[in-house]
Amino acid sequence: MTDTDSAAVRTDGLWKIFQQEAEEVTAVRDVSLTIERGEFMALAGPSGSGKTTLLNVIGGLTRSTRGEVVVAGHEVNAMSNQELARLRLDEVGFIFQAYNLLPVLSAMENAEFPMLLQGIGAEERQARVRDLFERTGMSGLEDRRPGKLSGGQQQRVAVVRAVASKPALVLADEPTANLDSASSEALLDMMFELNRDLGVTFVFATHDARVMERSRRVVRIVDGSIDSDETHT
Amino acid sequence: MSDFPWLRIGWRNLGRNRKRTGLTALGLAVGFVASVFVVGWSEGLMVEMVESATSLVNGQIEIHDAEFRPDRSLYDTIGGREGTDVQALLRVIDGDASVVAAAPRVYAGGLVSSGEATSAGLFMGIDPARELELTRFLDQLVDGRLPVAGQNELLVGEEMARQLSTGVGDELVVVTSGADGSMANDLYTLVGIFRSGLTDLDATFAVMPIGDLQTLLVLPPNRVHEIAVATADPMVAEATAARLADLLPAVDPAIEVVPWTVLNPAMVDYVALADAMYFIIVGIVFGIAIFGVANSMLMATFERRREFAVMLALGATPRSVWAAVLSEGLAVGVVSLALGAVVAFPLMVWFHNAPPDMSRFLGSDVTIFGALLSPSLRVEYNVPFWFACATALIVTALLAALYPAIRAGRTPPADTLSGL
Amino acid sequence: MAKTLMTLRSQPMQVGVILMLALRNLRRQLRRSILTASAMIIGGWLLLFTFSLGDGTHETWIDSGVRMSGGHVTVERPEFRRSRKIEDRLSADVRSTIERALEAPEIAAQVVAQSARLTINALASSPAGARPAQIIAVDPLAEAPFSMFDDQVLEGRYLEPDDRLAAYVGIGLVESLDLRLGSRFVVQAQDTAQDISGQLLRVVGIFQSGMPEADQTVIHIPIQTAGDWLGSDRDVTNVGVVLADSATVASVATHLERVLAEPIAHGDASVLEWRESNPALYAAVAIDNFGNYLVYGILFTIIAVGIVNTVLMSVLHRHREFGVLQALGLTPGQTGAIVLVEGLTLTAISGVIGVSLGLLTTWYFFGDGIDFSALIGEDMTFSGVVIDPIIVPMFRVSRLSQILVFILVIGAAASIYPARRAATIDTAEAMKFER
Repeated sequence: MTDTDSAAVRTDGLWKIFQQEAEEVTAVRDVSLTIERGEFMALAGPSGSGKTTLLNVIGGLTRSTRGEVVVAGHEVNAMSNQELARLRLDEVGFIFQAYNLLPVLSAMENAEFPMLLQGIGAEERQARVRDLFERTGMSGLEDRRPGKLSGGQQQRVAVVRAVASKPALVLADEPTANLDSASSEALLDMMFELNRDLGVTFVFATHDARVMERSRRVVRIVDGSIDSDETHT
Repeated sequence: MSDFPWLRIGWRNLGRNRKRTGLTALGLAVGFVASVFVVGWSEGLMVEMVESATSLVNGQIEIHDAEFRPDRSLYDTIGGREGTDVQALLRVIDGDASVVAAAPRVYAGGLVSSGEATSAGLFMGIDPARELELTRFLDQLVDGRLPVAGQNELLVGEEMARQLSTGVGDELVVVTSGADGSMANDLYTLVGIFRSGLTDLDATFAVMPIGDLQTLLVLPPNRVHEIAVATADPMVAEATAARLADLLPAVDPAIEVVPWTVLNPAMVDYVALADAMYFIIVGIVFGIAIFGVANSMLMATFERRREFAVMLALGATPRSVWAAVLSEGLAVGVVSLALGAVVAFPLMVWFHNAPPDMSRFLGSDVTIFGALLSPSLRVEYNVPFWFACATALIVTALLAALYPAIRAGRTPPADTLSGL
Repeated sequence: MAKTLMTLRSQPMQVGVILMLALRNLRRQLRRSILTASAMIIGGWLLLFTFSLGDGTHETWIDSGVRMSGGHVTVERPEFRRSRKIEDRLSADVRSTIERALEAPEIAAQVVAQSARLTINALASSPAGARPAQIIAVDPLAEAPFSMFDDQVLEGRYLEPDDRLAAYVGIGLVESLDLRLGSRFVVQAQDTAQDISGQLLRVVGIFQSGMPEADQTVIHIPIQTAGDWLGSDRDVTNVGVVLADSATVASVATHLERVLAEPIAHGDASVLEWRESNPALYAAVAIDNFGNYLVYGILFTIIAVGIVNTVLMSVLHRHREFGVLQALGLTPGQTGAIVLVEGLTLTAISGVIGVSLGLLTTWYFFGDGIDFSALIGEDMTFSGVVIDPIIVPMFRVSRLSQILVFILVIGAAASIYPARRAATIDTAEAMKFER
């Protein structure tokens, strides 16, 4: 077996089954997947296909029912809740469809939050955030609270937050679903550039054709299993 | 608007967030139970105080020669030195509907001496049969029995018996001043020991049949110092005393018919003071509870601002919105009241009929205004007060809902619906 | 091969982050926080002020009560309490030991007044009749600062050092025996030879304490007179002290017991605290305190319910937010800690404000006290003590700490359930919520 420590994520025979009252719902069915660092890929599928659940398991938000998940070289199943939290802090960045930001913190404070938790000093934190804000055309918005930002701006702050702590990978669940087409394009551009210039690994769960188009690799999920896995250059 | 089912809406809204409704109702319910219970306990104390002050030894009404108080002189018997027809007076008193019992008494100070010690004491001459109907302190003797007339028999209190190191069957010397100025003394047999619970009483009183004491004091049988009267309820004592004063045949010199309220005015004031305090307590309790309810209702209306926006957009007036919120407040009040009542009433019944005895914690009985209080948590019922509490609770709930109702009525429909 | 967990840095406490999030959240829900805080502020205010009043009242009761009886601490023979017989008086040796013990600096500093008395029951008689009386034979100079009776002169004067057959009598007894200032009367009691002996006395002063028990039975006479009459020389039955602060009673009593260990072992002496010699007064204080504890227990239950409600609702409204925090890397414990800190901070701030208001109010009334005579009147007696209608509130550090701790415990207890709710959310589930 080749040494796969360098992969961002590796899953092997992953199953996730939910118990709902008397019924069992299988959301993820025997998924084996490897995601290398630097990838810009989409988990594509309609709602209910299990892509969000798969994303949650990869990100350590939910535990798998069966099967192995290794994130940045760490085996998730063997970890306690405390350790998982640490893993999320250090190695995984999250972007949700909406309501990403903490309402009581400013844009700058939201973006630097994971770094604050990691214990990185104030100077360095703020330097990284300002740099990223500049790259992404958001200079001047640092002190605004989420209530005063548009939907598109909020999502961009969420991206900066996800990226600033230099995680092994960034997981985005339907990041463009609540945005108009102009904002969606701008957001995708931003993430694409971060991937190209800084090598940040992006994994999207999406059913938006635009996102799928921009992704170099598209893994189609149907009824919880991988239907196809295509990489185009 | 009048057909709009406000109460039903208010009621149903409660079910939407059961935890919050539950907690809010809990706050009010605790306030209700607390007010009812604390006041019940306080009234229980008052009743016991009055009861103890009157039925232990004194009686609810006392009849004396007008000069008798405060000196309590040996010579100031009813009817002065000539005395009076005591039996006639008793007949009239017994005939009154509110009177439960009446008994004549004679008093004198003196000394009681056993072989080992001497105690100063107050002699009390009683009619044993009548006395048992009137007061309680002779009901359960610690030892022995009641004295029989003509046998030189005596009863003393527990404390005095202890001081004299004496017991039932012993002989005691009794020394006192007679009405003719002579020093009277005689030998008596101790036949019983009583315990009233009031240490002073138990240390000072020596009880014998009235005829024996009159003989010792050289007083004829028609001279007594006091007729003590018991009424069924201490609260009717005043009215009864007034009635008796009219009914009794005229006696010369004048007599007084005094209810306990005149004999112990400080106690009457205290009861009135306690009554006044109840409203303060209720005010404070519900005054504090109102914040919790207001908070709750504010949260509830904030959550439902979209609904109010829809209602207003569809053409309802702000008044309708107020009605919706107030009816929810009312519903909370009703639920709290039900919860409170379900807890309070069994509690009150329990503490009324089988109150726990607190003497373990306190170790002693307390006297207040000279009345003995035993440390039990007995409560009294007070239905008018319960209704007042219930009203206070509902009013609190409504008041608390007032500000949230007004704010809800001011919801800007368009802005709210578009998600701001 | 998967890396082990050792390479993950260990989890820091994140105290700063927790505090920041908690405080900002309180600020954000200002209206709710203020409403909840208001209830606590009023509660804390009332609590402190009421207990200060209560403590002040009790101190007055106790002071009056002990001055009318044997003092805060009394030393007498063990049998005397029950028998009240002259045979059970203190021997001269024991008495001087006691008086020396009371001179010890630690005790003397606390003592406001000290008196040695001979107390016996007697029969007082005059041509008008006979009444039981309580004879208290004293040294007038020592007794005056101790007792309150000397200040309650109605007619005549209190006893003086040279008095021989003088008696200072209560108004009730004076009226019963039809006496006047200057009248003579006789007292009879059992003397040291076990005979009944009489003594002639002359009324030099009449007092009115307001307490029927005292006014109708108490007579003060000079100790030499009692000695001559009863053959007891200058012996006394008990030695009592009045202390500056009733809180020092236990330590003074313990100290005395140490110094008097030998006589106590021989059964010649026993040290009594006021609560043993005046159990009815102690019970009265206990009942009054109990009433207060009950009322405030109830009030604070209501306040606590309000706190639970507010904190819990804020947790339930921030379901999603907590999910995001955990997604970002906060542990469940840390999430719960945020809620706990919110609840505690709210409680602590409002509690301190309330208590401070209570302290201010206490201080304001401290000088002159509050005149309750409109409510209580001048005649109230309670367990043998006349209640002074002017009540001075009393500040005690122990009471203040008790109250502060109580408030914090309430805040913590009320926040525990909401904190657990915050800690146990399912992160993935939370993402499905809007808030």
